[in-house]
Amino acid sequence: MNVEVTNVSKKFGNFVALDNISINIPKGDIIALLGPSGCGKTTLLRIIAGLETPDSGVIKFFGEDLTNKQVKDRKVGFVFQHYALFRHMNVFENVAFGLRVRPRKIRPDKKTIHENVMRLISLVQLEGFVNRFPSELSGGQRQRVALARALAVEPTVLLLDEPFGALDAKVRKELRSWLRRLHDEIHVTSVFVTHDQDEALEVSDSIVIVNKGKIEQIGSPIEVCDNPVNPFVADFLSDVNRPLIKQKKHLFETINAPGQGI
Amino acid sequence: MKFPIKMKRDRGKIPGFGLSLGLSLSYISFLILIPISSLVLYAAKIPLKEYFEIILDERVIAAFKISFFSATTAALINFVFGFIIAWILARHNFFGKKIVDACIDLPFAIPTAVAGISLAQVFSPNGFLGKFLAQFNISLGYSTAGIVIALVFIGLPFVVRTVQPVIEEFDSVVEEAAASLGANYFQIFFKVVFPSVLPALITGTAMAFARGLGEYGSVIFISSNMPYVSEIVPLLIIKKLMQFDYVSASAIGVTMLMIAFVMLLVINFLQNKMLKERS
Repeated sequence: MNVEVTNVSKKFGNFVALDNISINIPKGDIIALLGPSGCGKTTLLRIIAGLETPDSGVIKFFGEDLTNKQVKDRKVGFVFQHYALFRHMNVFENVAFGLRVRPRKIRPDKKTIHENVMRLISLVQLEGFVNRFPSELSGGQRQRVALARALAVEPTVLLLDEPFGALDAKVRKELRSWLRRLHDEIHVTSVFVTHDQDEALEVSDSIVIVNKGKIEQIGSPIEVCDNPVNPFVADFLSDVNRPLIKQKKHLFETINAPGQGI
Repeated sequence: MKFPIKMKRDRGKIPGFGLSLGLSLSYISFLILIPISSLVLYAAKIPLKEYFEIILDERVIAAFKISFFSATTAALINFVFGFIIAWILARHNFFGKKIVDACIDLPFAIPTAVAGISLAQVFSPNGFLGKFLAQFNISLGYSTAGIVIALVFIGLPFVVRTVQPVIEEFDSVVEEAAASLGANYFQIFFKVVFPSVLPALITGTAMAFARGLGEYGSVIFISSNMPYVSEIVPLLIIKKLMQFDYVSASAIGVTMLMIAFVMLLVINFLQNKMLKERS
């Protein structure tokens, strides 16, 4: 019962964006699609979301075949690089949008919507900004609104397209460790796209390294760093922040050490 | 002691605030304020009682009703169809789009009298469209409906040209975001796209309305120009002038001016309120 991507291919004209890609994402995990610009990682994410249709292949969420379903019927949460907030709505209305557009039969009543939205706003730590408009927020705050908005629909899968790409280095660092902690709290199956090796290593449970529309290696951050399968992966990960990995490795070893169980 | 640097910062990076404000104000004064205030000053000499007698004359009131009714109707028609045309031009590619795009500006370019005459020709009972409509007992030429047609024609480019760039700029990623949250096409359009375009659409409609109120050249050729039925205010003013009744002409003119000014002010105010919420 996982998110399964099986033999997905996609061409744009003569350009092969994805060449027979298969990934299996365990429920509750957060995985990173890592690769250089133009490698097809965003296309793959958009295909999982249903924003793009594959030329061939199958997308299954927890056993259900969604290949021919539209994005609105897939129950995914999608976070865009440039936030894509609704400019004419304040923070509250942005977050409430996904609940308010539900068909009347399954739409929660006003009180429930209000409670849910306020809970999400406090989850992303924006309690004081409920009535602000997106233009009155910083980049990091906007991206947190976008995240709360995506979570409001209780997605089965959360998809993030370079979620920190438009932010400055300091905010990016803060936000990615915050995202990791948030994921540890809510455990929604997540896929995020990045070209930043450190980001992938710090946030994800496992990393899918993509190059020229093909998967080069799949594995945990430690695996891909310690045992790169080919020169491309080795080269691509050559300038990562080693102490960060060591720290994480140390953490993993402590957790996995016998007799100290978690 | 205050540092001059602080003053500069208050006025933004590019200097010349004083000069450009002075230029703008004198330009507006010479072109708009002085001519209009001379009209107001002339009208101010009319005793109040006489002024109200002129304004409350049945024929004048009827003309005001016709002018405002037809300008409003035309603006609302342009609100709907101007938006649709702007949408098509901004969002879709089709054969002959460049030509359609160029046609939009024609009402700006051709003399209004020419426009009026050709519209009258087409919609008159013998005209190309008039003949067709006559079969259903609809007559649009030489009637009040004719005024509306002329004003729709004149006002269309104002709506299309203000709305089109805003639709073009609208980020389609926002529509994808709405779709990913479960919105259907209808909801995406009415809850996300349309509210973002609405301020520009209101501006365009207000301009079309204002232009319609003052339009004279095209209307007089297609309207039957009958007092109480299809006589617009600008025509009434011209008629008064031709009878050397400058007092009535200026009284009517000033009243028109005041109403139009207040209406535009209200529209501007509403729009600013809407824009303030989001920028």
